[in-house]
Amino acid sequence: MSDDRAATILERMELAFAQAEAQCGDALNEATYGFAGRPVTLGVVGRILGHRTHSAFTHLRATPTLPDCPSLTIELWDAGETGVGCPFDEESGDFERRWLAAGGILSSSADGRYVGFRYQASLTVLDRETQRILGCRRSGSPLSTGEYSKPLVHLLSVWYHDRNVQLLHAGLVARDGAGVLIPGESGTGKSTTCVAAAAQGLEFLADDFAGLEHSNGSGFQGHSVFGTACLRRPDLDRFPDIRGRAVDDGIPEEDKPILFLPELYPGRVRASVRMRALVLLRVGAERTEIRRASRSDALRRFAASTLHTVVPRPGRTALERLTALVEQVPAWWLSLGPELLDLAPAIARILESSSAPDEA
Amino acid sequence: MAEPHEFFSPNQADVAAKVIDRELIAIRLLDGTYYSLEPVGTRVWQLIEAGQNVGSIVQTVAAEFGASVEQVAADLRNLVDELLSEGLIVRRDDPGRTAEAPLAASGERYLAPRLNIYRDMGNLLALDPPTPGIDDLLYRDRKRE
Repeated sequence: MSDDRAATILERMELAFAQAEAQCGDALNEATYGFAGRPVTLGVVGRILGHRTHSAFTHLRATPTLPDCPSLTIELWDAGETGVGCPFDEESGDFERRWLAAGGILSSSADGRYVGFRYQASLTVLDRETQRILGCRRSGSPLSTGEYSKPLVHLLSVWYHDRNVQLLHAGLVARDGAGVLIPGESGTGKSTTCVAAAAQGLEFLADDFAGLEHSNGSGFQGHSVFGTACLRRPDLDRFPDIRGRAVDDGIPEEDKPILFLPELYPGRVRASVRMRALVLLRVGAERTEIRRASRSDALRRFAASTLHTVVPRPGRTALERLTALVEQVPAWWLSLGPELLDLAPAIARILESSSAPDEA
Repeated sequence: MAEPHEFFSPNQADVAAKVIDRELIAIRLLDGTYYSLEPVGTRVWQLIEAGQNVGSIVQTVAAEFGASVEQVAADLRNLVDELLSEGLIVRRDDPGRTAEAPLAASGERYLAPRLNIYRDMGNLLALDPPTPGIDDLLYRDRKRE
């Protein structure tokens, strides 16, 4: 496929979106957000898809300090609701180079300018030159847990990468703007720890994917990408106050209901924080305890859990960035005991014992 | 088996590696297997990176850690074979460009170098096809440059 053919895919998606907007303009749900501090406009034609897509980003609503010109424009439509079909069937919407990834097909044009992701009933494409994502959903079928709780994550990962923001497979919580990054593979207690921290008054930024950015002069910043958390049902049952508010779209094989943290804990979900500490979790301890971890422990844990669970895989520059992070920010082991109420005080102790990088 | 005159270099195409606190952490990017080396092995890695041949590395390590040349030579053969079989280093036909190796830490006791291999992520990922890396999607946006 030539790069001209790739551009044609974008043009046809643009035309179809314009048609959907013209036909169902009253169903356009549009808002501006700050993604890692960059203004992003998200417009969705289709009420249900619009509500669901915006729900993951409500805590990132733009503030007056953001510049007007968007760094990214996202335009999506629901083919079922608008009657405007996706212009491509199956692989006809893929770009020239294709990979199986995250249960779908990731594709890119030969020059890397265009990146697409096709997953079940959805097709989304990113133009890295014009900073635009276009996408359609072919039917009114339920969104998967991943699409609902972390919409567009793979294309956003590329967009963040182009801005030197590394998406990490990690949780992120904070107190007074000082952040604690928590790496780990699925099942290591990240989501439970992050939700418990928010429930006990700490600030929430991420349970699974966080953005990491190194700013000259101000160290590392952690960014929230989604305001959601997904917990397996047995873990959710440990939170009787909120388990009834978890959203379950009824896809039985997934069984990971979604919590929308800004709704549960208004004012406790932040967009960005300064990185103050790294926390390596250990599950199954008799009681909750903290102790210092070595920098090599931290790098091993981060490298193992983040370099292969983000799509597309971060490259060697990510390892360089993680090395700089563990050199600047102290790491701690947090052994998780059975009592959830011990978690937030343990994280608070870690923050109190971790001086800011410029104070060290 | 590695011979004293042979040169090796890190497999830059497939491996990312960093030294922190005298411990090497290396990741085989294609499948997620990761590795660590303790101080003696890390020193060997640094000398390989610096372009020294096997014989020279043996002499340097033996002198720095106060070990016998014979023992270091035997241990190094095993380590190099393992690094090769794991795809972490590749043979080089020529010495290439040599670089200054970082200074060795002083006072470290000699322990036979051992490559620690962590296949947990690799095993997990073996269930899935290899995912594309961000380096597969390189794009130079001239407007932003």
